[in-house]
Amino acid sequence: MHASFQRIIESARPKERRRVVISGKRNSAALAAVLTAQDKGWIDPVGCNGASLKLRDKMDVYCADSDIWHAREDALRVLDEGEAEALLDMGPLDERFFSLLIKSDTRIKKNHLLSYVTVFTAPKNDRMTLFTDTLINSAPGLKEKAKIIENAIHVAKALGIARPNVAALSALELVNPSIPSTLDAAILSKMSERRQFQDAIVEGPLGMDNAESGLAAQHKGIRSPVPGNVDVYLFPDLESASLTTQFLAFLGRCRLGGVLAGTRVPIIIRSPLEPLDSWLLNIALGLIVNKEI
Amino acid sequence: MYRNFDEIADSARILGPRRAAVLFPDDPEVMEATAEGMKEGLISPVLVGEKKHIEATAQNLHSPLEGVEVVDQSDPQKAANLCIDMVMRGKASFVVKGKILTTYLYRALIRATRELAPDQVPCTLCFHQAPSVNKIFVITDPGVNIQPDLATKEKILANAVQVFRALGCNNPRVMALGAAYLDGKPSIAAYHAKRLRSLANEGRFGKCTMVAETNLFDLFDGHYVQADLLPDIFMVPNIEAGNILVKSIDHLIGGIRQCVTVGAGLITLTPSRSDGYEARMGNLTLGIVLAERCKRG
Repeated sequence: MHASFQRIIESARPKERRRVVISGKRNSAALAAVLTAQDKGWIDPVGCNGASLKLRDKMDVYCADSDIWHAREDALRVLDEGEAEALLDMGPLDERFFSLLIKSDTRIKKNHLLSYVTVFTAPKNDRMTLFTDTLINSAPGLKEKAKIIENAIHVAKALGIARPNVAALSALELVNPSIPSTLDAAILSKMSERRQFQDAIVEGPLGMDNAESGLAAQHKGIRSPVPGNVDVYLFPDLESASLTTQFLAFLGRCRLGGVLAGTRVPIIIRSPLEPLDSWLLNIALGLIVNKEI
Repeated sequence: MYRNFDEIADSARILGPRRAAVLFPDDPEVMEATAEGMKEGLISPVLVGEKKHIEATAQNLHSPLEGVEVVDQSDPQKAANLCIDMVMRGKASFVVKGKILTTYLYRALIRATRELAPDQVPCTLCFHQAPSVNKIFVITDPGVNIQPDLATKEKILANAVQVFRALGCNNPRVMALGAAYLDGKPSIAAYHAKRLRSLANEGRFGKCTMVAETNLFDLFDGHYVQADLLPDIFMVPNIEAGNILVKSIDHLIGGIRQCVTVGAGLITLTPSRSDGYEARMGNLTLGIVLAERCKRG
């Protein structure tokens, strides 16, 4: 495992075990990770699905309804009533699940929206890097992008990046009215200049080449501390985020993990873009990002 | 079919010098690659741009321009048109983009394509080599068409298949990329992918195999990439997704990217303005091979 991911795993242990309710369709990789996290002293799992019955000797089971939707509703009720501090859902991830999730104020931060942050270490520079939004918002507008950035900044800070540099990506570094993402990126950059993202720096629009290389940015006349030092990449839409993430995973053989952001409590899931063995990393990320709870 | 850029470079060296119209070479890396390409017998350049800037750049690099034709044209659009006209008239094999906004070159190429082949659209083909797989693959179109509709994508795909077949790949594997949304509805790109697949099966693009999957996750189902299963041509949904993706391959993964823009058989080399000397040298060798293999008429 890469050193930065090892550090995440090592620092995941909370002061006290968190009670985590487990829902969704049985997934043996997810359950294996749950038991490992239990052994490591991170969590006390609580089963809330039919599959949990088999694990009665290892965890409490609140609900063993074989219908995953009934079981999920029960799991979320357990969470809302404060009998558990986190949720791990084994999937499937679809609109119905997220609609259920956002129904309660207990789970979602006020005035926030849900977004997903992919965490990886780029093979080229070994730097821990965040991509967002790689799962939830298919075509975010400016307002949504601002919230997606706030979510990502929260994740970055929890991972030890004190003053995150954010690249608002587009096809080019010039503002072009025919390409709306260049306009959004320019506005977000101006918002950052006026400190609307506190001490994080948002720069954009940036092409991937001038975001990744300070020299390439200089070549195009961009003077900013962000190029070459990017912690968070904000993608124009889900399509561009998903394609880039999958090429990174498959052609770059890059280890990926991820965390759902904008939640009040850890909601631990696994994106289809991540390998099965990322469950433990995702549990660690969920616990670290929501450490203050 | 070439498996990597070294094979392309070897082939280019055998093919020997081609006339290249270098558009706005007044940049140290462009000029250095041009001078080196000339020294290595790859190109015989004609330099088009503002003469005093070209001469100053050459002088700074101690690259004498003796015997090199320089066409003085400071207007970027006129200079781009001039370069494209040279290729149209057979006076040059391809255009090399230097320190100029790509838009000027695209405009000139779109005009020429409309004139020579009204049923085609120019598109950018980015050729890639990634460290994990010994294979060259192409991503299109990350350069010209901002938000192509289905009809435009048909033309882009036809263009890409034609180029790939010219390079010796008789039955290219094609994937039209599209994201899966949480609501289960197909994205526009996924809908286009389905339609393109039907058309490919009807033989609209010549011999090619279009895979049913629209992402690598479904294609490889959690396993490592296998070169024979990896598509030769990836079609991206739009310019944003394409541009970010192609640059990620070299900037994040450590692969190699070489971009050309093709319309009506006219070859223009369109490296990013941020590309350095080595990338530009590699680009020249790809241009030579493409110019030879995709000869017009």
